[in-house]
Amino acid sequence: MLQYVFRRLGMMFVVVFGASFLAYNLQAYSSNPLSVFTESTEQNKNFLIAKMIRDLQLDVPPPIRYFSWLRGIVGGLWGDFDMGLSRNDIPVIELLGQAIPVTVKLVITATFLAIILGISVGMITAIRQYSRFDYVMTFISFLLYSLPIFWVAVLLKEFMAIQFNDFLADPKIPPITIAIFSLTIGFIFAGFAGGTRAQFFAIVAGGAIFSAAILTFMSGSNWFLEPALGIFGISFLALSNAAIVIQLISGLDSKKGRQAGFGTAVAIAALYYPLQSLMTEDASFLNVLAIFAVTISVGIAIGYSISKIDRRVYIRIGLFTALISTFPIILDRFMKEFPNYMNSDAINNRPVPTLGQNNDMLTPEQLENFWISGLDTAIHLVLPTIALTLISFAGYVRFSRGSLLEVLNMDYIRTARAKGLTERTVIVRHGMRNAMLPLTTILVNDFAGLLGGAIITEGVFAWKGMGQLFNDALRGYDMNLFMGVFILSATLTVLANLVADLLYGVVDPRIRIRK
Amino acid sequence: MRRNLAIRALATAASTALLAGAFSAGALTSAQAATKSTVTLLSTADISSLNSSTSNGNTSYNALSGSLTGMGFTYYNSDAKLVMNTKFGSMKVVKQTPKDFQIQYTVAKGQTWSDGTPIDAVDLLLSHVISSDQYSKDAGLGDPAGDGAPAFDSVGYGGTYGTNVVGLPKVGSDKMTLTVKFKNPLPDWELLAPGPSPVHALSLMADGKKGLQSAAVNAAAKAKFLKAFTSKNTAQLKKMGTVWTTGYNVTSVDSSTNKLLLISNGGFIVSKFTFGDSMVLVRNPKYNSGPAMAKKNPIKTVVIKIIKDNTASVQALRNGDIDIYYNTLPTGNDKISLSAMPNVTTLTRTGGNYSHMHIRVDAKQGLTDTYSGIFAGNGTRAKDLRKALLLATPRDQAVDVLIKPVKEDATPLDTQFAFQGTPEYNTLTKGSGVAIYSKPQAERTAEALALVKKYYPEASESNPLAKFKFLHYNTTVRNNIAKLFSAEWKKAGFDVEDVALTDTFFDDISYAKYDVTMYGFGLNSISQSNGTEIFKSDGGNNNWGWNDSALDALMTSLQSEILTPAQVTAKRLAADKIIMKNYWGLALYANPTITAFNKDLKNVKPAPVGNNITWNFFEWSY
Repeated sequence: MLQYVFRRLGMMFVVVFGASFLAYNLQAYSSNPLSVFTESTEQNKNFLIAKMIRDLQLDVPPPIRYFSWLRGIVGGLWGDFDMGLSRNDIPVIELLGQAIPVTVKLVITATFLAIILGISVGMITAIRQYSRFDYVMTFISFLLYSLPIFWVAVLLKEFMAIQFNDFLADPKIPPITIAIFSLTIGFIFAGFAGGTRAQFFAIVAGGAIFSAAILTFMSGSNWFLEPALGIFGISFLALSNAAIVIQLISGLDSKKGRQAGFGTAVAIAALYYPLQSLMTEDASFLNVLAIFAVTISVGIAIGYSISKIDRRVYIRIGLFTALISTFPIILDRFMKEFPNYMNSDAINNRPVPTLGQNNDMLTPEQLENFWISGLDTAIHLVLPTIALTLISFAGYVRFSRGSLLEVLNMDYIRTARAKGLTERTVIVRHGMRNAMLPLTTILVNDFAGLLGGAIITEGVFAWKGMGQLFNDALRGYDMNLFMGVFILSATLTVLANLVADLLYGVVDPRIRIRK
Repeated sequence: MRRNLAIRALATAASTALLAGAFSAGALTSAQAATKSTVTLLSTADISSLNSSTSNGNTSYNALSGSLTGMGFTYYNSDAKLVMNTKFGSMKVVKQTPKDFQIQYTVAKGQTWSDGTPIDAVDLLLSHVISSDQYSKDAGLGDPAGDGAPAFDSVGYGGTYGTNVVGLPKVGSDKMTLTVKFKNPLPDWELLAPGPSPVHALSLMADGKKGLQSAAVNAAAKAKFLKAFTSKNTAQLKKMGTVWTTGYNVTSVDSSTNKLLLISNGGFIVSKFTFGDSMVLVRNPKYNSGPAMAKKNPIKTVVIKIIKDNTASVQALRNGDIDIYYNTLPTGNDKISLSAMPNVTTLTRTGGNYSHMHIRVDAKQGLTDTYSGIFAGNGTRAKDLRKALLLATPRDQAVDVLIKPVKEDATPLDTQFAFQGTPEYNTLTKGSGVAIYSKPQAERTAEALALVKKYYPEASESNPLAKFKFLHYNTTVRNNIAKLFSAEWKKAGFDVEDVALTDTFFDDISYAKYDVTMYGFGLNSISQSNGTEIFKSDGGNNNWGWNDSALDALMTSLQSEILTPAQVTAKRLAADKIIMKNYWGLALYANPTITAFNKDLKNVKPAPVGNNITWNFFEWSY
């Protein structure tokens, strides 16, 4: 095993060395930095040209110049690591250090959302293969897959930022919009649920009436200017999320399961008022952690107390119900800060920005307020996260659907059914778990790819992350910066491949890594 | 690749249509406009340094904050006129003989840097250090033109100041005047005025100091700089050079930043900065080096937001995320989107750049090339063919198709010495003989074909014979113009080989591989010598081997004699006549720029030189 890892690491060095040599030369030969002087009418043009040749060592052939760059990297072996300076005279390592957190902040939420949504939708479509829902989701995921992200971004900004901000000036939804919107929602719900024709239309009607009621309430009560979930919203969300957790872990027909899940949900809703005392103006991230600690312990306690055998199952139900149901409580607190945020000078009643990471005009007091600065960051993340999720969601849907379908056709699934296991057990325990195996490789690689950045998304939303750093280096003939980003992504990709292979051996008992 | 482009084009078109529709439909409330005091500007590339005079920091994006934090003797206004900033000081010629030319600069009394240190003539001396090659060599700071970078790695060496200055500038006894001596009289001497720098801060930082110091310490630091400057103390100057060259290249500014780096004499001081994201500048309460700020609702904070994607900045303007948008390469689509916005004023101006089409007549001077294309030399045949090519060039069509969608009143540019809208432009274009290129295109092309037929009797549109290579950049706009031109040239019997290059363009324009070229020239200053580097036989920008002794004499005179405006115009007119007579080429059009800004913001007047939008920050108000 250890020998295998060392052999792979050795190969990795060769691959990264070869790739970096190629990349360096491709980039060096691909463009001419002197071309900026074409249109120059400066008096000291000749001096400037000579200077650039000297500074960028343009008189040294790129294959040789490569080694002076490599010297800095290899210097790491004896503690003299040097990635060089960018063309702006800023150490490359400093630029990378600044860009990595930006990229992670931008991409991580979207990646998790895409994975969770994509895998769950994909698996549901596999279970309901060739149903209306399957066709609709297949259509939607291919549609999203083929949309160019810069265009999605333009649309999102137009409708969710510009138009929405305009709408906030007088947040009343006209009845006709409510009607159309509610019917659409009804059809989407019905598509998810499936069933006979009569059931289908019943759900359409139910969903439409439900959402029309909510929208009318929002429109009538000035909800968009003073949003909140309130105790009703929180209870509703906690109960529905408990139902999902119970169904996945023990099945809704288990009495103890229902007790653990719904019991926790009720307890969380009951904690809504007491917990407010932890979410004051001068709260910090620690307070949020404390809230999670409280709710999760309550969930675990309930799971523990209602059961004597199979405790782990019910503790899990309690834990997950508590964990997920706490988010609405935190969200509710952020929402309550919205009117203050909205009316501040910095925001000037147009809260949704089309770009950027933060509002630069928040006062120091506002920045110190965890809820306002958190809300500011969150609002800036909304559009890019939606854009990225929409685009990458499709891949996971298709992959997990295919993977689960393949597993469901296996002999051991037939055996499980023949044993008389419930359909839920067959699918969740024997189907989904095995279907996750091939997804490991993709997930590991996707996380390594995170740091490569999202070139276009970062560009259209004006986030200076790894993608933009790479883009600038590429266009600006910034060799050291280019190689800095390249070597980092290349190393991560190769490492991720190794990790994926090792992980595979761990999660899949059929595979053993031998010498 | 092609498919991607098509999708991109389609998507852009669709989104433009959508934006235009949506913008015209939307209505905006600006309920709190009266209390607003922040202007958010757009920068289309990174700000990388607080010092825009270093060789690596010399970008117009770094200068954007520079113009808000520093004021000097002069600035360009929105009419491209150099304005004397009398609040800062004045300058006058005190001696003018053929071998001795002296200028005295007087710093106005009572000004201070933002840390309270008085501004005097010592603060002007750093300008000499970073512009004089000789000083750098004499003080042991390295030869700027040598193999290694000098201690002050400045962009200013090798220019008019550096090549003409004699000895050290002299500080007057009251420390408020500075006298600089040049070896001969210099036209455009107003442009050579030294800019002020907080030398006490530089001196303090060279000694490792952090944070603002007391008045006494500051005065001592300034004295130390003066001493190091006059005695050419290599060690001390080198320490300052390191700070000056690299110390200002920061990736962030916050409360922990060394305050000495941020000292300013402009209207604003940098207070927050994140590389690649944004910069926030707040009012400098001690600002007294330029015109007073607007009395009613002046600007209190300026934010510079870095947005590289054009569509993103258009939408940001619509949403109020930025207040001022500008674009130096606008398209018709941009104009449509911007004009449809209800909350925005859009200005279209002529920028400091223009496009031109020039014909090679010989190899470039100083190169070993030889040139023997159909346009080579000054014989009748070559001149006839050149004239035919220029006659058949549909400049007005290019302007109609590509420029008018942005600037409705655009016309072809008829001289390379002045832009439309100035009295000089009218004088030059009336007398130079350029008028023959304004006749209807069909007439001109027929005339051109007749000229070509003199040498290629068989030539016609279906049988183009006069063969040449046409070089231009590989961009959408250039390729479209080239297509228009080639079609018309073919009608006149020319056989065009259209070459579009990107990466090797700069290397190739100088070499005799191409007969005709099309690209642009940009102006960063308006001076008497504008254009001389293009038309002099040994000029750095004369890539076409043009050589005319009478023209050389005119250009030399423009470069080296102090002339009245009337004399300058007369010489330029004479030059234009020679250029026209030789059929060397034509200017095509002045590139338009777009500035669009929040309707509530008053007095935004972009300056064409250097595309500077912030020059009159003091007049801005809500």
